[in-house]
Amino acid sequence: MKRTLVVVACLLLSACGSSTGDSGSKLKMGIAVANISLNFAHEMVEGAQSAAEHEGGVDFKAVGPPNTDGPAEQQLFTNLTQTNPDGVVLENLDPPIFTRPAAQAIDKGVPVVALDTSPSDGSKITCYVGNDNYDLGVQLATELLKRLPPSPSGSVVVGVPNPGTPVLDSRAKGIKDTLNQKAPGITVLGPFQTYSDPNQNYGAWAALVHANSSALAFLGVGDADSYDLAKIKQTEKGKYLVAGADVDAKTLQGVKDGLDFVTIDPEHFLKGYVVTALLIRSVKEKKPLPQGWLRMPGLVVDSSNIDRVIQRQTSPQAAYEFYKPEIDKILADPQSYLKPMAEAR
Amino acid sequence: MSATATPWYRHLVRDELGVVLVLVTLVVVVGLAHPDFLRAPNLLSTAQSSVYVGLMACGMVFPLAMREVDLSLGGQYALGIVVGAVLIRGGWSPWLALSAILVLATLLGCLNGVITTYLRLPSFIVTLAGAMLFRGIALALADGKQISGMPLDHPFFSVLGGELAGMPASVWVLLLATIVLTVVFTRTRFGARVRAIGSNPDAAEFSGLPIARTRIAALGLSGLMGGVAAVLGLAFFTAGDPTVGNGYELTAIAACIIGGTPLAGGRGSVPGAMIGNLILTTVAASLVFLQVPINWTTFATGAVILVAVAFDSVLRRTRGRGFLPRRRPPEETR
Repeated sequence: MKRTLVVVACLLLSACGSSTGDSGSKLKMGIAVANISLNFAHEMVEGAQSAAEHEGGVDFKAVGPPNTDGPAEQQLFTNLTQTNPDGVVLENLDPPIFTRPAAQAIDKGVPVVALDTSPSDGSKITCYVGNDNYDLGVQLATELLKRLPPSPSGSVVVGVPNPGTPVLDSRAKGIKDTLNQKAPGITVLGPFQTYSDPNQNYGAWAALVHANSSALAFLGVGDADSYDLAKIKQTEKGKYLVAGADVDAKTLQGVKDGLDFVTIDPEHFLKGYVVTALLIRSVKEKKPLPQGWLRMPGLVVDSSNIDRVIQRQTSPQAAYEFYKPEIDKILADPQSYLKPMAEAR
Repeated sequence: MSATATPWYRHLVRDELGVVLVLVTLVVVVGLAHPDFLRAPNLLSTAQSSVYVGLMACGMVFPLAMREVDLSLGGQYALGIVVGAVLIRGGWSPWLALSAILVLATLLGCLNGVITTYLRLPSFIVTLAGAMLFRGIALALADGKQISGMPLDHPFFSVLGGELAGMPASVWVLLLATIVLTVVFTRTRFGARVRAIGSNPDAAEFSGLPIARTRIAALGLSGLMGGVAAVLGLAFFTAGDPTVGNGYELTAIAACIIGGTPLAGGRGSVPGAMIGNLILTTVAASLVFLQVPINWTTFATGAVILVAVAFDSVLRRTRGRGFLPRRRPPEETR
């Protein structure tokens, strides 16, 4: 009886694991993400899957833990390099954990490319596709200054949901440095921890708003920051400016309603698409991957383009159509986007 | 009055008074340093932030008091919010969706109890697995994204997610739930059974108490409170987000313990759990006012909670004895 159950379980698992019945001639590739539940990771996966579909001939698998759990992702990544050894895209929030597993996979001949977070030294990953997160912070601060009177004076409060996450810390530093340089009359307070859980995030921002009721603006760098700040501003009829990052549905509504003055879009679909297409082409054409950091732009979403962005978010196909000109441009000449890996931030 | 009568102040130092004192001290200390902290909007938003876990903590008192635990509450909360959002987006009246969330959450809680009872498995494992199942279903239903596009003008969102008589409606619901569950826990036969089973399961079984039925009902009640939290979360946040509620069950357990419900079972306090959670939320809000550097926030949170719990524990053990010079026993005075 027990043996029968084991056999049935194995059959079920193998049936679940195989995406097509005829995958023998296809390349077996995949992507590992930090948290399959989160919107940003979901968009990267959609971009990667679209690229695999468009490039053709790839059996593509996406893995990631349901919670942000570095060791759990590391295990999934290691499994993926064994089941889909023709190439793996690695997105994570804790690069040191992946140093040795990535190096071991590359030593075994599995091409590994990094997405969204720059790889640590020793990982042997030589191709990284990601934003200039510091610059995303600069863009957010610059947009704020455009909306403040000349020579502004007062305080601006900055929040980071998960301190210690390089991507988010870089954005906060970009905001702080820019405001300090371009607006000496502004005192930047923080960054303060604002938590990623929407309820905790709301509570943290509500307390920050009440503790700094005369502040000019409240700026977050994560997704929950954007929509929770919009909700607080609406509820409390705040006169201050609020904004954050990412393109969750509620954030886009916040921009459309004029509550968030902008949101900074790290263009996750675009990054997922580009890195996967580069990996597939490299393997298929037996050409080396671009060496270094492929710097991806990022988009300021405001009232001028909000409707197009909302339309873009309706489906992977809509996202592809939105990004197609940019995808074609980047893939036609990836070298022009390259920077030294050491400059990644 | 006899010489052995309990002093009047000892009656006042009941279980809940310890946590109340901790909370009041915390609020007063931070308020003295930063008067803005005491402004009504800040206190109300802090109270509102505590509602969701607070409701779960109130429900969690029942399984904890009978030596069980419900780790599926965060998953139930996420599933409830997503199911409600899917139904409303599909054209259901939000009030019908509310009913569906409550029924579903209660049934899932009862299912935890049925599996725990009839498969003779620890509720720890059953509800841990349940948490993953519920969160997984929520994620699949939502397709990994927020479900938006709710009819925000509907009273479900404008009233239940808004204010009633100058206070967030969700805070009223929390207060009402605390009162009702306190009565259920302390004044009903069901509550007495819960405490009796937790106090001595063997004796309860020997005396013929319906342990299985009580366990299923306790976990069902816990699930119902997760459902109420989901309804209020959906009404306030106006979108179905499958990522919400991570770790809420552990915070709820911590709140219960702070509030006087031991893991050993046999007793508990619904208002204590609610106030225990309010302490945790107030600590988080107060750190903002105290401008604790970002990399010290987690440390400071842990430190304040530890100090608060230690204070409450000392108060609970001394039950006021420490406030006055120790009197000599009557026989020594002869």
